[in-house]
Amino acid sequence: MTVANFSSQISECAPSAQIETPDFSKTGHHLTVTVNRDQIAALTQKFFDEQFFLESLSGVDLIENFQVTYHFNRFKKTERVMVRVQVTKEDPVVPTVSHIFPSANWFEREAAEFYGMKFKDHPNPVRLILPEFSTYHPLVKGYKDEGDSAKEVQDLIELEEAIQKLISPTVGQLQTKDYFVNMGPQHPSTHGLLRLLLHMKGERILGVDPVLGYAHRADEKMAEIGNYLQFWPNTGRIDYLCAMLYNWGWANVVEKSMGIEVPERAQHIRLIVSELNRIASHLLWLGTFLLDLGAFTPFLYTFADREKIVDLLEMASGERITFVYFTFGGVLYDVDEQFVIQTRAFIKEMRDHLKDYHKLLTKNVILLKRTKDVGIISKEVARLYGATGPVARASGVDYDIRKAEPLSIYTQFEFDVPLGENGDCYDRYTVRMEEMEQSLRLVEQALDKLPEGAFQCKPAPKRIKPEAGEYYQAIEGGRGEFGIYLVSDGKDKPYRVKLRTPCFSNLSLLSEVSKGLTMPDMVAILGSLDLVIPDIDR
Amino acid sequence: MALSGKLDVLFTKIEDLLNMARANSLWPMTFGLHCCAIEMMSSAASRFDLDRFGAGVFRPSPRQCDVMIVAGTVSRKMAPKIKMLWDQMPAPKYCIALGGCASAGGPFVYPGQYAIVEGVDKIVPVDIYIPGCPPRPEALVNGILMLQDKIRNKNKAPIKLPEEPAKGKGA
Repeated sequence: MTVANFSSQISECAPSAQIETPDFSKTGHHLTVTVNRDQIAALTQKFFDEQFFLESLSGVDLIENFQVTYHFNRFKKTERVMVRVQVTKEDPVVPTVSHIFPSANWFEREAAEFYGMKFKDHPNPVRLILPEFSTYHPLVKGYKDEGDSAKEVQDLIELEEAIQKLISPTVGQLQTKDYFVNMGPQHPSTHGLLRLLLHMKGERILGVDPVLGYAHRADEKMAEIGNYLQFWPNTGRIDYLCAMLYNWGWANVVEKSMGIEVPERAQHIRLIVSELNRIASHLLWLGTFLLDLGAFTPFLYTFADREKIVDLLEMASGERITFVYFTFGGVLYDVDEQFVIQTRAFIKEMRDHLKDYHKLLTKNVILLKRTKDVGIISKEVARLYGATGPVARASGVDYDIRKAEPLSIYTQFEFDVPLGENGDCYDRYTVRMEEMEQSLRLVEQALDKLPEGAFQCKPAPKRIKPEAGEYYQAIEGGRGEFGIYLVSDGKDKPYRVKLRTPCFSNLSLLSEVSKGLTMPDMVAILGSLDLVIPDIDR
Repeated sequence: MALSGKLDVLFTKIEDLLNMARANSLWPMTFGLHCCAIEMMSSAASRFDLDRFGAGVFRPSPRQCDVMIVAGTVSRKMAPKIKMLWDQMPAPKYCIALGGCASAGGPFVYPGQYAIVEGVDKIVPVDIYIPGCPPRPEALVNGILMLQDKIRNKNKAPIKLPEEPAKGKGA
């Protein structure tokens, strides 16, 4: 069944729904549906039964009303449906859908704290990203922090000290049957500022409650404040390990909404630098994952290889990590002959090194014991929580946006999408190792076909002003689907930008998979999920 | 007594000796906040190798460290935790603000922002500021060297900056 004849079924379960079929190539939606809030739960159940997954959920402030936007999509081949629910500001209550899709749990908490909406019957309606006791709703239009920030920080410090004093006398009285262990936010194996509250019984984990927001930098608010060009630096700093790909995400949504054509050469350059960046990201993951498991040497090897990629990317863009190399309609600078020669040399070298990694690691007994059958994510769990990228593919979910959407010129090249079987930590390891080889294949083919010509579209777009409307485009980031939901009101500033980041959804299934495991397994799972914390907190 | 003068001299010499030891075995804290943390990792890894300067022993516990490298944006939710970590470090302790964000908020400052603390020096005292977004590993190495210089010559100011190479006409 395709989305086209799905609309009749939608009107069956939500009679008053208004259904439109917009241009997919421009907006990224096959169907858009507007429903009343009392029908949203029934409609979501319908999507659930039809094997959709909840891609994203975001709030929008429409001055008079609030809007909640749901994006549903299918694995394998993109079939994206957007559902809108509007509520008044006097009564901003929407029924929760978290009992159908657990991934909605975090999305709804996020929308609730940023807009002051309420989700009826939500199981855990507390703050997710903002400080625990904050009372403001920063994404409401016109919100500005007028307060004294120094005083606020001082207050937070005093509050923290008071909490510490409050907790310490009760420690002795706690029952030792089951207890809580705090992991992070400063912990070497959480890869940044993630805090996990582990509910333990003896050595076994009963449940995990991640506490987010320690790396929150208000990227979504900044998108609304500057114009379209001014958001470029932020795209390089959300997931800084694959900044090129996130550059592409922003370029993609704006270009498609305005119909900007990208020249062939620019598309090839984009593909080359992005795939190189993906390899660099996976190399860093390999090093730190094994560092978490206790092996120090691979860290030094992978960083040596990563530095070579960083050199290549620096040659093209002038930066080492947080690239701003893309521009609307192409890339900022052309690549020269030297870049091509050195990249070819690198591919040859990297293939040899990958063989070494396989020899050292893939059959390593310690690695096998630590990762085999640990943290199993089933196909169904991946769908329920909206997991994407290597995490979902290790569970056998055949969903890669480079194939499913398809993105840019990826259709012209041959590459495979590696899939796992069990969905354990070891499968996630093998999938990423295989992905590096596939990326090398892609880069090699793109270098062979690299055409002459312009690297930017001519004439360059002077004014970046997409037509009023709603757009959603996704790309395959290093960790999964990076989607941007852009609401434009036809002016030179974005009205609302929701960043659907892969790590956010991938982390939300942690509690599900870690039940009954021990602390060392927890470290292995966290490493295998390959988290970048600013990607979660944004 | 004449002895006291000699003792004074002796005392400063021990302090100098200790400072020399401190400067050459800095133990930084494994404490990455954002993008700069990756450059901090790069500088500890193969190519740049902070161990050459005695500052490569990264420790996860603040109680074993004597330099806190604040690598990235300090969000308001994180600020109290940074203060707590700093308080847990034994003296003498030093702080390096790595990158634009830790120094002054970097690119995330706009009028009416609600999310970050504009510079870690609002919470803890900072010894060395390293500009860049993010700074290259060489910049961090230079920062470590400057910190070592500062520790060695505790009472002597200002710190010598490396001289700029002379500009030849033919170059």
